Amino acid sequence: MDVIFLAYRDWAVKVLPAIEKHPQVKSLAVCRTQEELRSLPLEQFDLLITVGWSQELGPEIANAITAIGVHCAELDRYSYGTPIQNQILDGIRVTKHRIFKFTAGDGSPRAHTHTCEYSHEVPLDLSGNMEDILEQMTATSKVLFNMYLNDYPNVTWRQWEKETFKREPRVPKDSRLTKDDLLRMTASELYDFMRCLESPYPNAYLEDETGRLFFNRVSFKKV
Amino acid sequence: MPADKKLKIVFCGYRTWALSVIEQISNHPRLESPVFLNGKEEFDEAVSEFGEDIDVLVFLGWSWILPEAITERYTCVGVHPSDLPNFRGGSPLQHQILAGITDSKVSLFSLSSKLDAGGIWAREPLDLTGESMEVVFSHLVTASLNLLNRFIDEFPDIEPEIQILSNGSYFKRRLEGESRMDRSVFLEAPLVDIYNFIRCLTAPYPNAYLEDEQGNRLFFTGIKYLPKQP
Repeated sequence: MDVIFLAYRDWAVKVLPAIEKHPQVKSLAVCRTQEELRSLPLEQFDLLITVGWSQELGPEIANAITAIGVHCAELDRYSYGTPIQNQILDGIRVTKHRIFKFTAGDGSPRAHTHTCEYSHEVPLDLSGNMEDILEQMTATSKVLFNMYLNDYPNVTWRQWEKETFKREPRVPKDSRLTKDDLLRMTASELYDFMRCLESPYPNAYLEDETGRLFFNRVSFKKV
Repeated sequence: MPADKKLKIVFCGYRTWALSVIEQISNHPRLESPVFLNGKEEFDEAVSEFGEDIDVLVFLGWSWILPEAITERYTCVGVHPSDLPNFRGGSPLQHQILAGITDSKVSLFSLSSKLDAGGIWAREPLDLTGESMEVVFSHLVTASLNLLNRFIDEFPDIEPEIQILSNGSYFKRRLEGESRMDRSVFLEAPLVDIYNFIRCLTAPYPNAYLEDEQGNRLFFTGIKYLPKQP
């Protein structure tokens, strides 16, 4: 099959060699941006694989080619952006990494999963530093796409249950900790807050009239 | 002794920054078959074999006081990362950073039976800025190389100046428990002080930490401070 690979984040780009090696893949076009993707003759490809892609693909792409991606949550939960951070802050330690199908917008607030269908899932551990979590996401993405390509074209799609609650995606100013937060939160809560905002995300910080103090790496020892 | 005469120098050190300095300084053209001793055990084994032809023993980041029999027999010099006689004693990098010092000196001094109290042969500027001790150590390597290159170039045509200890300061080595941060620090201390506390305790030192009522510890292993632009 002829495949397009779309990714730009560091952890996501590292998935590429696994796709390249899969025996089902005859040719592979690699894109880092939506513009590069739009320049390709989509009708000549069988599948678009996206990794760590969080933007809408739009109907001109989603209706022209089968497009799949991975999402690190038990969809429909945490489907609106910054899923790693929102899950860690909610105390979730083990979640799912799932392959979902991109669909064109239907006016719902969901970014790109309007049909609520997933094909494969594996557990994903959210403990440790962000570097550890992203390393795992590279590995689980390889496993998931291998599973998908092994099954292709007889892929079974399952529906996930829709949830009405919407968690807002985090924005950089949400990384600010107040001095009161530092007095109120337990060591464990502070650890979760700081580790989920380690690089490449906007680090947790304290601010005063002199400047900003960024906590860019932490570790935790439980009694 | 003519200034272009080859020198026989024994270098002693064991810390990573010291090993890096020794590796690079060993290429100095005035050195003749420099000897390297990694730690006290190797030094104790080798010391009885030292001949009279050794010109200087150089100690970098050395933590042990030398016996008088050695300091009286040989010229023994040590590298200390402060502007001696200030910040003599233990944990000099940490004590200076905590005092808000960013521009310091690395000093080459004579080792004697009294800690960091011998005469000063030379000093070179030492930059104490940087977000981690890894960065500070890279500055220390550069400064120590400048210091030792100058010393080896000029020896024996330089003389140590006497340290006036009453003009300086002495600090004890910091203990692991002193890396604990009280939460009130975050309410009271300026951010730059918190930054200095955390950065001077990055690896390889016992990291700064907060401890909650259960005894769980949150360690700060990486930190960055961005002052507001005027």
